[in-house]
Amino acid sequence: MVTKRSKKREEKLVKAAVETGGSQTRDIIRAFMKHKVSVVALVVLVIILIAAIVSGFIFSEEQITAITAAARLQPPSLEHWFGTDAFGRDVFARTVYGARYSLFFGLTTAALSLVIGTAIGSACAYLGGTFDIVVMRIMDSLVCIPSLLLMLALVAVIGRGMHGIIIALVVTSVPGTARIVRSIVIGVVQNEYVEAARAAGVTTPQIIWRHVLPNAFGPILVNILMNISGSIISASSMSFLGMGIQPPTPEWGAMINDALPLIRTSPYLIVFPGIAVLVTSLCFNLLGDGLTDSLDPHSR
Amino acid sequence: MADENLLVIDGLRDVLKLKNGEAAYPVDGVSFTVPRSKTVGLVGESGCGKSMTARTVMRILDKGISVAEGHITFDGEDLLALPEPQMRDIRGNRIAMIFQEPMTALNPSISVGKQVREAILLHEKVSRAEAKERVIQMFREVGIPEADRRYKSYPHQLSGGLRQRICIAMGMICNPDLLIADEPTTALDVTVEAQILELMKRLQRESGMSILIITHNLGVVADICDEVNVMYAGQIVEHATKAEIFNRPLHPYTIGLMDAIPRVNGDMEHDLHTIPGTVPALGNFPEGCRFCTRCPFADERCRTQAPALEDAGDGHLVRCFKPQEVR
Repeated sequence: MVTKRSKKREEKLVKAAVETGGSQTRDIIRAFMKHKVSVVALVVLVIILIAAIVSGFIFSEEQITAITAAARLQPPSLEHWFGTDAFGRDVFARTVYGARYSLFFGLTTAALSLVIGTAIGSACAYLGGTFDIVVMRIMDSLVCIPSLLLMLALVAVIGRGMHGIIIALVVTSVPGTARIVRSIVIGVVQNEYVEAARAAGVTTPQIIWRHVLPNAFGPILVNILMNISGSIISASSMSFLGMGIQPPTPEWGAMINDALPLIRTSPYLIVFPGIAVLVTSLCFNLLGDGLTDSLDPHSR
Repeated sequence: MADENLLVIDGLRDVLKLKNGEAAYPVDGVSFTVPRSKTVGLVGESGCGKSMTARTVMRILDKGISVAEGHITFDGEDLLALPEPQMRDIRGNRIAMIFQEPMTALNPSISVGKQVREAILLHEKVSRAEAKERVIQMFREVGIPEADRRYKSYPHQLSGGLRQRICIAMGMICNPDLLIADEPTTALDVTVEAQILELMKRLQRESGMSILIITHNLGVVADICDEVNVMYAGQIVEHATKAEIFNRPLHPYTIGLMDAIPRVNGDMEHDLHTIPGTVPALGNFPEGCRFCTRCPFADERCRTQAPALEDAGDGHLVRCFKPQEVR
């Protein structure tokens, strides 16, 4: 019975092994689909993204910030799903609209730190020597400073606007990306297949493009997804501390800060933006987890 | 004669710059030849400079290591003087290399068929479809079952023996004149090892290529080689034909290696012979004969003077002051 089952399983594995191939993308998608939690996270993120985009067309900024004294502090109802705040603004609309800020910060920071971090990290890995030592020690010293303190200091110097926050977020996330990219590239370059490619007469740019980057891409991408969720939390934290986006703009951190005095009477004002931050950043993390496994050909 | 020998290595010396500014010579005055359509073995322990010699031929040395002296002539061309683009045309096309670890010598994120196809597309102007046909043909030739299906497999889906066959296919796909095999069977078990060696011999018979095989296993030498060079601490210590070296080993190191082969019908009462100690660390070679610290026959002269590689008759070269006494 047992042998029969294991034989069947073996046949299935052989069949799968023979059938795989062709499109690598298809393999990755198939592997990713097996991670149910990550698929759910992806779906939720897509919904959040669509909501963020659509909300820009449905609500004007004025609608989101306009004060309606008559409707203030209503608990969640069919009319106002998440209730209304102290100024009578619909919390649901503000929360959905707030996704625009959080996603913008998260994605922009991640993209910038991917580009800058990959450039720094791979340059260090490839050039080595004094350049590597000096640059990496600078990165290390940046990591040593508690990131929230560093961000607050940078915002204080640069200013509280959008660009201030983004620069602060990028400066704090680049060192981590650079370190990870450097170690990944060093590891990949040492693989025998890179040497084998050289021995086969492959040119250096082709080696980097075909043999190094595809094998380094997975871990780097996962790091970037973690970066997005980190940046979302950091941006909200700064707004919560009053150093980021300022009220009445519906940034989640700023909304929580706004509602702090009302925590006993109207806790829903804090709960909904809080859940929004939690769900969004958690989904990016879960997506990263799923991709880690599906991008690694060994664990497919 | 340049025509008879495909590869001539003459007085090759690799220099490694150490952090403290000193220089070490992991390959120190190595000379040997690879005749056409023959198999030459390069034998020695780990760290004696075998692999580095091969990498110097391919010009794929790591950063910090460079050629200090010597010449490498391949089919009449001075490889060390060749500009990089021309060298790239030779790599993989006329000189191919297969590596020790079939587990890591293949890129895990590209299907094996595409990897082998890449080698053709690099060196020849053929269509992708045509190249694919040739890859599948080559897969069949190296004994890969279901070759057309395997084309799409990823390295991790294949066994070690199959992967090494893929590596050999990749090496053979452009019909190289010289195949450098760096410990091609070390990571495989003995039955697969025998199959791979058999395959290499068959491919050599069919294509007439030369093989330079790097190994620490004298069993592999006995199976496949025509000539043998024994290396120790960056130098060749003995050179002879296969028959000669097994019948009349002259250097105490070679003899030590022979005695270290486990014998099935041997005397079980005695422990397996080993050579005491290890290869001296790079830059820390003893004065005089480099083997003197581990040699049971070493005397005062061995410790102070370095022996030269000398002919002991019939082209059997040995680097030892008292090769006759050794026996």
